[in-house]
Amino acid sequence: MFNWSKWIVLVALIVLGRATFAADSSSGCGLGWQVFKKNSLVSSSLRATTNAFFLNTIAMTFGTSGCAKHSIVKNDKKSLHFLENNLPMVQAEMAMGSGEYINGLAQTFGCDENTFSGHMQNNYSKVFNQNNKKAYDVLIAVEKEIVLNPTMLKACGLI
Amino acid sequence: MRTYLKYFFSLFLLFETANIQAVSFYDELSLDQQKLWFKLLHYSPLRVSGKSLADGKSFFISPMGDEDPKAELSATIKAFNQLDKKFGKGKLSAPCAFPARKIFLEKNKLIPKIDSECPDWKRWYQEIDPVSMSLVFSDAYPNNPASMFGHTFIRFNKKNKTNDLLDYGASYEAITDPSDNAVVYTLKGLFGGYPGLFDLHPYYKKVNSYSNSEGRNLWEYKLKIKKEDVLFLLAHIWEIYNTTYFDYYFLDENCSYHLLELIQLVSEEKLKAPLRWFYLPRDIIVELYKNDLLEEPVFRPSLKEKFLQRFNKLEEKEKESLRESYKTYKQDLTTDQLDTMIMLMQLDRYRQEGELDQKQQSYFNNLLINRSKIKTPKKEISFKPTKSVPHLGHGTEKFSIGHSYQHDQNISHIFYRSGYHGLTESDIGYSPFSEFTFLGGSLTYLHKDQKLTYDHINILSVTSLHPWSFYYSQLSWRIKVINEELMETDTVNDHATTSNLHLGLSYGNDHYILSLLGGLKLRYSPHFNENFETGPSADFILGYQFNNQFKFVLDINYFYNFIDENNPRFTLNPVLNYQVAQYVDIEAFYKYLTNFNQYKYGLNIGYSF
Repeated sequence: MFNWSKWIVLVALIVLGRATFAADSSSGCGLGWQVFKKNSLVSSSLRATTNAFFLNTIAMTFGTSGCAKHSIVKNDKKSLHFLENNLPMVQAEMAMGSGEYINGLAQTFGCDENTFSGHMQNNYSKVFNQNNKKAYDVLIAVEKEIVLNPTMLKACGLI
Repeated sequence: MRTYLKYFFSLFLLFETANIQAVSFYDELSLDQQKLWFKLLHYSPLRVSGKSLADGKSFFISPMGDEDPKAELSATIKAFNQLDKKFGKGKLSAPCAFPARKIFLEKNKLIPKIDSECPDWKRWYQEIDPVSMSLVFSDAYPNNPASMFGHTFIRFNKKNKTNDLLDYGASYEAITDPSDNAVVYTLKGLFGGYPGLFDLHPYYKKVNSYSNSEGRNLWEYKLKIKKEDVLFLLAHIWEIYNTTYFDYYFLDENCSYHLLELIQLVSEEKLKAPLRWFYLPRDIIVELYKNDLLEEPVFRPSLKEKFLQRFNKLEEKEKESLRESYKTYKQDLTTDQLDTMIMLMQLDRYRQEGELDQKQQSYFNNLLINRSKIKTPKKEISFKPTKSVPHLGHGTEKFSIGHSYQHDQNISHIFYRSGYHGLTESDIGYSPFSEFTFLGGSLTYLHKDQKLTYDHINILSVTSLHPWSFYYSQLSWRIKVINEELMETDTVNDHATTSNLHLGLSYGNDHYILSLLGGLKLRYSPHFNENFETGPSADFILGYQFNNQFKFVLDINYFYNFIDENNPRFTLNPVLNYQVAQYVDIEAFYKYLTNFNQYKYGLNIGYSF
C-alpha cells in the first residue's frame, strides 16, 4: 500500500527546506575550485589554501562540495551538479523526450531512463516553467515529479 | 623464504640502520622494475638540474629523492613501515598518500601486503570506478592561439556504464593566474612560471567546454591497456594530486608530454613522441597508435557539427523555410525542423554564454513547449566523422625537393618547414582550408647562373577560412610575413619582405571554399624605387578537395601599390596537391604576375614527419 502521507510530508520538507537553502546553495557547487584557480600555486596564498584545496579537490571532482544538504535521493548532489553544468542540453532533450543528457540526468537519480525521459517530456512545462530558471529550481521541480508519481518512484527505485 | 628476508630487512630500516639493505633491494629489482621506479619518480632527461620533473617536494620522501632513486626507495620502504608519518596536502600515511608506490612495492615483495584504511583514496577511486581508459583528442580551436594545435586529455571509463557523460576526464593543465596580462602569461608559460596539475572533472564538463561551447569535435581512442594498469595510473594521479605539481612549460613540459609520461608507466614499449619546437597533441596520438596502444577512435561531434549534419539531412524546401523561421521567429515547423531549430537555438545560447536575448528566449521557450507535446522521438542520425581524424593526418614538419622553371632557366630546390599545415595540403587530420606554417624556407640552385640562392623564408603564414552561413557568421582572415623571391625583376636572385593582413568572407563547406579577403600589404626591398611599397590588397581563394588525395587551390592576389607604378598587380597562383601516402605528397604549382608577364612553374615532392 502506497503511503501518500509519508511522501507529502517529505515533499513539504524538501520544498520548505529548499526555499530557505536556495539562496546560497546553487552557487556553492564547484566554487572552491574556481576560487583556487584565481590563486597562483606559486604565490604565497597557496600555503594558506593547501589543505582546503586537497579536501576540496575530492569534493569538487565529484561535484558535491557546497551543494544542497537536503537529500531525498541518494545522488541528489550529483544531479544538481549535472544540472548546473548541462542545463541547456537537459532542457532541450527533456522537450524532445530523449538524448544523452536527459539519460545522464536520469542516471544521477538512479531512474530508468525511458520512464524518466517520457515522464519529464510529459511534464516539461511544469519543470521548466517561468519561475524555474536556475539549475536548483529545476532540480526541485524534477524531484517533485519523481516523488509525487508512483510510477516514477518505482522507476527510480524508491519504492 | 627470500620474501620473508626482505620484509625482515625492511623492518630493520625502522631502526635507522644504514641504507645498504635498501640499496641492495634496488639493485635486486629487475631492469624493467628499476625503469618503472624511475618513471614513478618522473626522472627525465629534460631536466638540467636534478633528475625528476616533479617540482612539489613532498613527492619525495628522501631529501635526496629528486635525484637519487635508491635513496628514495629506501625512504619509501621505511615510510611504509611508519604509518604515523603523514605526507602531502592531505596529510596521509604513506600507503594512502602513495597508492601507486604501494602497488609497486607489494608487487616486488619489498613490503608485505598492507590492508590500510584509506577512506579518501577509496572514495575517490570507487567513484571513478574505471575499467578502461580513453585518450581524447579535441580538434583545434582557431579562435584561440593557445589551442591552434588541439588538445589531449584522458577519460576513465566507468564499469558497466551506459553514458559516457558520467565518466571522469583528467587533463594536465596549467593553473594560470587570471590577473596576469598577455606578456606575463606568455613569459610565465614559456619559462615554467605556472604550476601544472592533473585536473579531474566529470566528462560532461569537458564535453561542455570543448564540444558545446567551442564547437570542437572530439576523437575518443580507447587505450589497449589492462584494468589493473588503469588502476595503477589512477593511483599515480592521486599521488601527484596529493604531493606535487610540475612547472608547466607550454612548449616541452606541456599537456601532451605529461600524458605520454603517464601512459608510459604501463607501456612496455618505449614511447617517444618527437620533441620538435613543441610537444604536439597529435604527435602523442600518432605515437600511441603506431605502437598499437589505441583502438580506432569514436567520433563525438560538436554541437555545431551535429546541427550541421542534421540540417543537411533536411529537404531543400525544409532548409529554406527553417532559415526563414530563424529570421522571423516563425513557429510552424515539422518535427525534424523543430529538432534542428532547437539545436540551432542551443548553438546561439552557447555562443551568447548561456543567455539568449528576450525575443530569442521567448521564441525558444515556445519551441520547446511545442516539441514536448509531440511524442515522436527525434530522428536518430548516425553522425559521419569529419576529416580531422588526428592519427591519419600528415606530419607537421616537412622536407621537400623539387624542380622549377623561371626566367629561362632550370632551378632545383630543397624546402623545409618547421610546422604545421599548409593551405594546399590534404585536410585529413586538420581543420579544413586552414593554414598555419612558420619557420620554413627553400634553398635553390640556379642551373644557368650556376648559383646557390634561396627562394623564400617564411616567418609566419596563417590562413583561417570559415564559411559564412546563416547560423555561423564568422570572418575569414589571413596574416603573412614572408621574405620571397621578387618576381617583378628579371633575375631569380632578388628578394622582398612582404607582410599583409587580410580579412573577409568565405562560402563553402569541408570540400570546397570560395573566399574574398581584403586588407593591406606592405613590402620592403632595396630593389624598389622607394625601398618599400604599400597599398590595398585583396585575395580571392578557390579551394577544392576532390577526394582524400587531390586538392586544388587557386590563390589570386590583387595589389594596388601607392608608391610605384605598374598598377594594379595581379598574381595568379594555382596549385594541385596529390597526397601519395600519409606522409608523402606531390605538388605542382604555377605562379604568374600579369603586368610584368613573369611566371614560374614547377613540381615538389614532399615528405612530412
